[in-house]
Amino acid sequence: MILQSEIRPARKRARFLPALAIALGALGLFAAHDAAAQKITVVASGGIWLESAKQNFAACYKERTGSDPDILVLNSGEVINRIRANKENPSIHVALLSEIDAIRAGREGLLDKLDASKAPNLKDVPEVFRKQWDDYATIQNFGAMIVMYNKDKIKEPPKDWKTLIDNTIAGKYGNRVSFPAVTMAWGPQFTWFLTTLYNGSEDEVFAKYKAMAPNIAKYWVNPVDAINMFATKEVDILVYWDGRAYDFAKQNAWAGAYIPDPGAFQSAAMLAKVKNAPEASWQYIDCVLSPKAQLGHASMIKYPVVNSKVVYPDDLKAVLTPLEKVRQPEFLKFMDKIPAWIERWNKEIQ
Amino acid sequence: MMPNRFRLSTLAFLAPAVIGLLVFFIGPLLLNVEVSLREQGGGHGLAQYLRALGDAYYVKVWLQTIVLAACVTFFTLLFGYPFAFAIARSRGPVKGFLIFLIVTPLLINVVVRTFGWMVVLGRSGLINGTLRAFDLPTINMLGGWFAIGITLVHVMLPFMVLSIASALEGIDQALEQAALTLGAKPAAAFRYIIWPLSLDGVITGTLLVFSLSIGSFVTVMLMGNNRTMVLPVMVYQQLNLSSDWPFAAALGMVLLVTVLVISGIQLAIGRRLRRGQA
Amino acid sequence: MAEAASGLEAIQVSKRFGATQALGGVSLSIQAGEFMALLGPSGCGKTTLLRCIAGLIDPDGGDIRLGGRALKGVQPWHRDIGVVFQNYALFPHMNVAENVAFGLKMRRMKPAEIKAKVERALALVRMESFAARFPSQLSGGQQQRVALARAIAIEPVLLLLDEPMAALDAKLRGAMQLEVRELQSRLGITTVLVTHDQDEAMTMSDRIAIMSEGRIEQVAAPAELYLKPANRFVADFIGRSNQIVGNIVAAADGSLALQPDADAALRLPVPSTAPRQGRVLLMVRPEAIEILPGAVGVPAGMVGVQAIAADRIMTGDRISLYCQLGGLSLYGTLPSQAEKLAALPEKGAPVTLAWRESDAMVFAA
Ligand SMILES: Nc1ncnc2c1ncn2[C@@H]1O[C@H](COP(=O)(O)OP(=O)(O)OP(=O)(O)O)[C@@H](O)[C@H]1O
Ligand SMILES: [Mg+2]
Repeated sequence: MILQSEIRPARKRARFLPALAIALGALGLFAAHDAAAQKITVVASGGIWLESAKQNFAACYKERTGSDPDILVLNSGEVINRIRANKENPSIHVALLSEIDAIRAGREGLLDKLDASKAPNLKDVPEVFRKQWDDYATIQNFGAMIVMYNKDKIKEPPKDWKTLIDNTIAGKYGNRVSFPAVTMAWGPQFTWFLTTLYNGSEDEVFAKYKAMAPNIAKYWVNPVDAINMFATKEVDILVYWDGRAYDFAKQNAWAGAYIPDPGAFQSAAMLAKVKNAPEASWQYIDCVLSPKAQLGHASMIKYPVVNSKVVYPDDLKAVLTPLEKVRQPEFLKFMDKIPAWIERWNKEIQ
Repeated sequence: MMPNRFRLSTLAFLAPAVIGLLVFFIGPLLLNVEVSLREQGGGHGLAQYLRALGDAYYVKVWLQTIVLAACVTFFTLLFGYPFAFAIARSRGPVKGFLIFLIVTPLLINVVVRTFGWMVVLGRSGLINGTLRAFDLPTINMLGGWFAIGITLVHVMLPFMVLSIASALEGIDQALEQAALTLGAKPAAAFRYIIWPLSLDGVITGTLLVFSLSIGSFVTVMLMGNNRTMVLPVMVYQQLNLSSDWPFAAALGMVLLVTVLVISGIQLAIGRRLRRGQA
Repeated sequence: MAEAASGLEAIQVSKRFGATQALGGVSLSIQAGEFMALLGPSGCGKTTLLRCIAGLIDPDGGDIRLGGRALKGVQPWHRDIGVVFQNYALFPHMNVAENVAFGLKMRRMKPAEIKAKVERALALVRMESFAARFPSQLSGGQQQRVALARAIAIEPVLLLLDEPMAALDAKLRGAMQLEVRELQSRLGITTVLVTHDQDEAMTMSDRIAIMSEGRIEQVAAPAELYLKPANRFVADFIGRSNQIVGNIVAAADGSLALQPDADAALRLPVPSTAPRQGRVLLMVRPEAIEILPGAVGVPAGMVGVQAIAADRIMTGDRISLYCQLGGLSLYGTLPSQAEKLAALPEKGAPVTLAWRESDAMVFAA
C-alpha cells in the first residue's frame, strides 16, 4: 500500500511534465515571435569588422531598443542579390554595400532615402559622404589604397605612384610587386584613380598595367591572399588598404606603409536603409552614425569614420589617412565602363 | 481503364519528387535560360551566346576550363586509385586512419586549405625553402596552373578514392585468387579482373571529380593569375563586378551544357571499356 | 585430357593466424588419381589446408609436394592446380565461355586452340549451350558446372574443390556429387574435396581425411571410417550412435560390464577388447541394434538388454525407436518398411535390444 501511494503521484507527474514542457515551449515560441517583430537584420564584414559591429553598433541598438539585431556576414554582391530577391519583405534591413552596388540599389529603387528626422546623427555627416549616392546611402567608414613595402629590401620607396609604376616596369623590384587586379572588388576604382594620374587616359593606364605585368608577382584579387603574400615575403611591395597596412607595419618592424603622392582614392563601405524594412532600422542607422559608436568603430578597425563630431586621439590619428589625401572616385563617370574594363583586363593582361 | 488508373496513381506517388525537381532544378534552370537570352533593348535572342562563342578569348577560356578539369580528373585518378586500393585492402584501425587521412581536405575550409598550399608552394614555402637550403634554384609554383592543379587534386582525391574504394570492396577476393590459380600473374589479375570490376567506381569518381573541378572557382581565384581564367571565375566576375547578368547566365549555360556533354561521353567510354574488358 | 595425374604429399604443414593455430602440423598423402575428401567441423582448417596447397597462403612450416616437386616458393599461377571456390568465384563481367577461356588465355594459347578446349570443357559439364550467358544468368548448379569447367580446362595436375555443393539444394547436390565423381574418375585427376557434409564425403571419395582443430584424426576409406573409427572423435563425428559413459566393473562371474553414470544400478555388456578397468565410452550404432518385441531374451551370439519401448520417430528412410532402461535411453533404427513398422512394440511394451559384440565400440573416456 505504501508503495502504491508513492507511485501514484509520480505517475501523474510523469503525465503532467510533458504537457508543461509543451506549454512552456509554446510560450517561448510566442515570446520569440514577439521579439522577432522588432528584430532587424543588418550586415557586417567578417573578422574584426564583425566584432566592431557587435561592440559598437549592436550594443548601442540594444541600449536603445532592448533587442539585439541579427548580424549577417555577407559581401556586397550577396547583399544586393538578397534584397533584389524579395523586395516586398526584405531579409536584410540595413545594408552594407560597395559604392557602386549602393548606386545601383538606389537606382533600382531598393533603398529608402536617408532621413535626418529619423536618424538625427545624419546631420553631422558631411554631404560629400552622401552626395554621389543621392542620399540613398552614406559612407560608414572609408579607407584608401596605399603602399606597403619591405624595409629590408626596399631602402627608398618611390615617393609617388607614377615612379612606383615606372620602377616596376623597369624591373627595379624584380617581380616582387603586387597591385590589385581590375577584377578585384575595388579594382575599377583603383583604375579610375590611375586614370586621374595619366590625364584621364584609360588606354595609358592599361598600357601601364600591361607593361608592369612581367614584374608583378600577382595582380591580387583576394585581400587575405594579398596580405599573406606580403607577410610571407612573397612580395616586397604591395598596394593595400591603409588601416591594415599601418597596423601590419606597427607590428612588424621590417614592414613600412605610406601614401604615395598625390594621395589615394577613397574606398568606402556604404550604409543604407532597405526599402520596406521595419522602422527600427532607423535606430540602427542612427547608432552606426553616432559619435560614440563611430569613434569606437574607428579605433577598432583603424579606418576613418564620417561623423564630423568624432575627435580621434593622437595615436589613432597617426594611422588614419587624412581626408585631404583621399579622392573620392567619380563613380557616375566610370561605373558604366566597368564591364568593358573587365573584359579588356581579361583579354589584355596575361 | 485499369492501366490508366494505375498510371495516375503512379504519378500521384511520384508527385513530390517531380514537384521538387521542378521547383529546385528545372524552374531555376529555365529562369536562367530566359536571363541568358535577354538582349539590350529588351528583346530576346542569342546575342550573349554569340558573344561567348564568337570571341577567341572566351573560346580559349572555355577550352582551358575543360582541360583543367580533365587534367585534375586524370591525376586524381592516377593518385587516387592506389590509395583506394590500400583502403580496400586494409583492415581495422589502419583502414580508419587511411579514410580519415583522405577525407581531411573536406574537413578544412577551402580558403584555409588553399592558403596551406600557398605556404607549401610559395617562394619562401616548404618546397622552395628546401631547394634554397640545398643551394638549388627555386621555382615559382605560386599563382598558376600547377598550383591550381595540385590544390584541386588534393581536395578532389576523397571523392575519387571513396568511389573507387567502395567499388573495390565490393569485389570478392576469391575472384582475384581464382584468377591467380588459373595462371594469371598479379598484374594480369589486376588488368583482367580487378580493374574492369572497379570501373563503376572509376566512372563515378571521374564524373564526380570532373563536374566538381570544372565548377570550382575559389581555388582558381586564389591560386591562379590572369592567365588562369576559367568559366566559373568569368561567371563570378560578370555577376559581381560587371553586373552583366545575361552574359553570366549564358556563360553558366555553356558550362552546364559542357559538363552534361562531357559526362555523357565519359559514361559512354566507361560503358565501352567495361564491355571491351570482358 | 589431363596430364599424368600427380600425387600430393603434405608433410607437417602448419599455419597460424594470430592466436588461432589453423593447421597444427598436418601430414597427408594422396595417390595420383585419387579422390580425397577433407572432412571436419567448421573452423577445423580445411580451407586453410586447401589454400596452402593452392599457394594462396604460405604455410608457416612443413612441405607440400606435388608429383614429387616441392611447391615451396612456387607461385600459385605456376602451380597448375585447378580450384573450385566455395561460391564459385566466376568472373561476373565475363560470359561462360570467357570464364572458361581465362586460364587458357593466361597460358597464351592460340585462339583456335582456346576455342576448342573451351568447347570440350563445357561439353564435359554439359554447358555447351550456355557459352554466351553471364554468370548472373545461371542457376546455382549451372554456375557450379562452369566453375568446374573453368578449373579443368587448364588440365590441372590437381583439382581442389572447396565445398562446391554447399549452395545447392539437396536433390541437385546429390546429382552433382555423382556427376563430379564420374567426371573425376573419367579424367583421372587427383582431387581434394573440402566438405563438412559427411554424406557427400562418403559418396564421392576414395578416402576421407577427418580433420579436427587443425589436425588430421584419421585417413581411411569411407566404410572403414564408419565401421572402425580410430578414435572417439571420428566415431562421434561420423554417423550416429548411442553413447554411454560409465565405469568398467567386474561382475560376480568375473566377466566385465559397464556401469553407466546415468543409472548406477545397470550393467551393460562390453566387448572383450574393452579395458579391464577405468572410465570408458561405449558406442553402439543404432542400426546395429536389433529390436525384438517382448522380453524374449538376447539371441545367441549377441549381447543385449531388456528395456521398455518409448517414442518412435520417423525420419524418411528409417524409423528410430527410443527405449528406456532405468535412467538410460537407447535407440535403434529400422528401414521404413510397413511390415517392420507394424511389428514394432507399442509405447510402454517390453522390448529386447540386442547387438553383436563386435558392433560395440569402446574408447577410454
Ligand atoms: N585469414 C585469416 N585470418 C585469421 N584467421 C583465419 C583466417 N583464415 C582462417 N582463419 C581461422 O583459421 C581457422 C581455420 O579456418 P578455415 O577457413 O581453414 O576453416 P574451415 O575448416 O574451412 O571451416 P568452414 O567449414 O567453416 O569453412 C578458423 O579458426 C579461422 O577463424
Ligand atoms: Mg572453409
